[in-house]
Amino acid sequence: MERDDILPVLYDMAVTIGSEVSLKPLLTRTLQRLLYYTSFPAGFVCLDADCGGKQGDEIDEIEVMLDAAVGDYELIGRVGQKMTLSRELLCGAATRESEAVGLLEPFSSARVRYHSYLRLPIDGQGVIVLFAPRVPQSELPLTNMFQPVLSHLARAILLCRSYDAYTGGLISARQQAEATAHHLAFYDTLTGLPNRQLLQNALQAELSASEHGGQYGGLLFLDLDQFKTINDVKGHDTGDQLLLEVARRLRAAVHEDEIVARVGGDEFVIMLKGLGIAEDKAVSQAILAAETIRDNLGQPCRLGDGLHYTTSSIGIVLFKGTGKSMDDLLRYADSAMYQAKAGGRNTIRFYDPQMQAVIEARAAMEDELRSALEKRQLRPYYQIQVDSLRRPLGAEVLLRWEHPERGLVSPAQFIPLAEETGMIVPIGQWVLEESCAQLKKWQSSPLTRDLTLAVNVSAKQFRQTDFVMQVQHALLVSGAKPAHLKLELTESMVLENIDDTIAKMRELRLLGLSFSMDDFGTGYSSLQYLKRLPLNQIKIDQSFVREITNNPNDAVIVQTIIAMSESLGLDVIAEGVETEAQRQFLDEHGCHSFQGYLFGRPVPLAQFEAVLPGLSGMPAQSNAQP
Amino acid sequence: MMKYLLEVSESAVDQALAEWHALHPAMGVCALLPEAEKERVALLQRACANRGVPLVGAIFPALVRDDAFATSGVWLLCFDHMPYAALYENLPTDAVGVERVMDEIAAGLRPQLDDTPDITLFMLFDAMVPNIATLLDGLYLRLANRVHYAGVNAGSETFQPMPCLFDGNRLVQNGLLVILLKPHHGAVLEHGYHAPGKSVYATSTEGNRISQIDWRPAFEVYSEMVQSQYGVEISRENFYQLAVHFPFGIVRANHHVVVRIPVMLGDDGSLFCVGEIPPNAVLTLLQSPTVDSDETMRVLLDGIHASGGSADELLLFYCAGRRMHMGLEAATGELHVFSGCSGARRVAGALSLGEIGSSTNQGYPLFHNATLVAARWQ
Repeated sequence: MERDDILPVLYDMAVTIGSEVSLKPLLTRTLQRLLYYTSFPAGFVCLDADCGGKQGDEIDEIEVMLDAAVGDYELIGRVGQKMTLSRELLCGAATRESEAVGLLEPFSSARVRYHSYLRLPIDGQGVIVLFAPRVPQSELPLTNMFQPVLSHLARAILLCRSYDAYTGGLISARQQAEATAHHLAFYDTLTGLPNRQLLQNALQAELSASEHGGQYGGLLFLDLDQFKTINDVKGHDTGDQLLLEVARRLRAAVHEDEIVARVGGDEFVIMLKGLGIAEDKAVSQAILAAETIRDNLGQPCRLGDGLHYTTSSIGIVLFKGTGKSMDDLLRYADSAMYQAKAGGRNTIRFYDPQMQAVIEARAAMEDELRSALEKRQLRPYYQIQVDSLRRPLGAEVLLRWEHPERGLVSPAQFIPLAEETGMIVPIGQWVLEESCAQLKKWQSSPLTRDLTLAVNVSAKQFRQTDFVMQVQHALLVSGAKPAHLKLELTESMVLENIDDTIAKMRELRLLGLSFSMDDFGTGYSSLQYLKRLPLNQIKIDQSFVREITNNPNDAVIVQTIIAMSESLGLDVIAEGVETEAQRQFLDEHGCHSFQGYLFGRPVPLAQFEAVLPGLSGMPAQSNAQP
Repeated sequence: MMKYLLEVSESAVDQALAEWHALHPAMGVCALLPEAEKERVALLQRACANRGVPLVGAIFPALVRDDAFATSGVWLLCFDHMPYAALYENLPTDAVGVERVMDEIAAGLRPQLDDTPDITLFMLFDAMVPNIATLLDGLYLRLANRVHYAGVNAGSETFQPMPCLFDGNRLVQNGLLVILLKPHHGAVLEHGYHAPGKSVYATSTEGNRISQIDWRPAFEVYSEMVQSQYGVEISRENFYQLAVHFPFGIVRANHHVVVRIPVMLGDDGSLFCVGEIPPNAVLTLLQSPTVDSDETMRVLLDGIHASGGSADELLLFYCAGRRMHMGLEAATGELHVFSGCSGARRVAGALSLGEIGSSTNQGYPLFHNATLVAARWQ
């Protein structure tokens, strides 16, 4: 390239400079083009180099910021950092030096040593320094040919800085808004921990990473024991304080790159990474992490004025690769946590597939139970209640589920499920309505018109604010006589809110209904509350009846219950009577109403009605007083 | 180790792999195939998969086999330990996409840049990638002088699109295969063209298209230059026969010339070259007789010897455009000189469609035409 060729070089430089609006690409592209035209292999730009001020031998170095670098790998890594460089290198007019090893020492390395440099000052805005192991061949006047474009570059730097400041402000405001939105979307507002969404994102990434790396990872699902009690007793502020302290301790217990997320009220998930490629090692590492966490949380925690002790239940599941879905893993960890809870709290449990199968079966049953009413799969069974002469007094209505595939499902299986899910309320209402309708039918026949039906009422059903109206409605719609409807309540239900119970019982007694205390003797059996309740009957629990002839203790308890009932003016009935000896004992000691296999199992209506004529010809008059 | 197989059959490939694999269980292979054998890629992939041997490779118009060109067979270049290699396909041409893919490539390479002082980044581009010089710029801004840059373009001599880069599973188009050789002292690149005194300026360019030279339609100026400098009348009709003999040279401040061969003529008089032409580049016109074969060979061989190590097995890539420009006989003659003077037991390579190298050791990587690229194998 000859001197005549300077013009297109300058023209290209001017076009390059004029094409950029932002400082970083302006400096990088300009430097790149200068290296191209000069054949120097590397260079840097320092803006704002303070070359003024003190002069003299005593100040021979200045601190500068490296604003751009091209051509030297190590130097590129130092862009944006401060460096102390020789004033002789940076300051002064444009120059080309060939023997300047000392000045270029900061840029030299074991691989390459620089000897020569070309300095191009940018009109008070800074300096460009190009350097090379040896001065590249060129006939061009490199020290002064670029002067016109360097003036142009100085103005471009001012404009680009202004543009960057303006757009930087806009970007900063937008980034702040985005950061806030991001935080709300992915972090828990109370503890600041990642939420379920962020956990899922991180877990997805970790599953892929473990697929490639072949390392196990783990999920710890942690739930605080008795947290609800703290909220109820000490208030939500204290509960929140505890959650904050738990979050802090969890965060402190794991590595920086591991995730601690809050996924529910008092539920946390910890994602462990890099547990190794061997399963046994991964298991022991996960247990160690869980034990550390459990022990940390077990340390006393100051909440308000007092010390609080908390425990946690932790479920663990391991993962490797993408074989199991993210949702499954979280479900398994949750299941293991429940197993830990069931294991006595403050416990650690690994995910057990067998337990998961039980849980999944239960979930399936829950779905089916929801549609059982609609599909008319639920059916009332009747178990006869008799007097001392075996004359029918009536029956207890017991619910059965006739499942098309599972067959007859035990009430022990589905009633607790219905209780937990709240389905017991519509089911209970349906039983009540069916019972009233049945009573109405019986009341038109001489054989059955005096029979009483005992219907169990669940706690959830009884606690409905409109329970009294529900009963009224069932009686009204059916036209049944209330005197033949007996509601069976349990001790625990009554105790839950004794004032509400008494109020509802009184209202219903006024309608003509009677009440029986079911399973008596199994709970508190407090005479204190028994006296306050407007009961008609006490039902001796079958657990006492079973051993009544063999176990003196049970015999005494039964005798006491009977005596107590007599003193309170209450009728008494024994359930679970299976032998004549049991019946005789009860009869001799003052209990003259019975229910049990000795007289009949729970059966469908048709079967129940079929046996009535053969029992004693006439139904007995119930002793229960309306 | 390098082995040329005349017949590309499963048994022949497997036998070669078996022998090496017994000695070097961590081995890998780089395969060079001529265009006529392009259907054999799947066979190579199967054979390597069966032995658990990592594979990369490329398809070229022809192979360089010692002192001759070959249009059949395969070169299997064996690494004792498979180096870091990564294959990227469908490279972007937009600015944002280029930045993204360069970040991705650099992120893959950085962890491999250990204390080894001399590392060569060997690149195999699909010749149809239109922005190779831009991509090289992007790489250089990230890796700078940490590596020696070398490479060639693969593909079809007809310049028709063709998937030409492969690894153990894929055969891709518009791609880039990077192989990090270490320790390795880089390659020597030389064309031997001398720039005549007269120069013009590419006043309007876009990528590999020159629209205007000295503010006039490019072809008009080009044909005038060919006429005045060499007395040859070049027209639209004979453009494709003659242009290869009158390539442009981009002149740099250090007198180095980067060759650009015009390969297509636009309806508006614009010229399309192999490789990008920077805006306002100083251009000169080169011509066949100015090629100095002796000097080219001397520069290459000096460079090879200076890089140290064994010269027993050498790589040599010869530009397809140069072969057209020089003619088959002269080109084969250059191979003969190189092979003979180097003393190498084996010279493996290919006919390339563009070459990458830097004018100085660890200097700026440039995309060239009409050059020879030589390197030690390991």
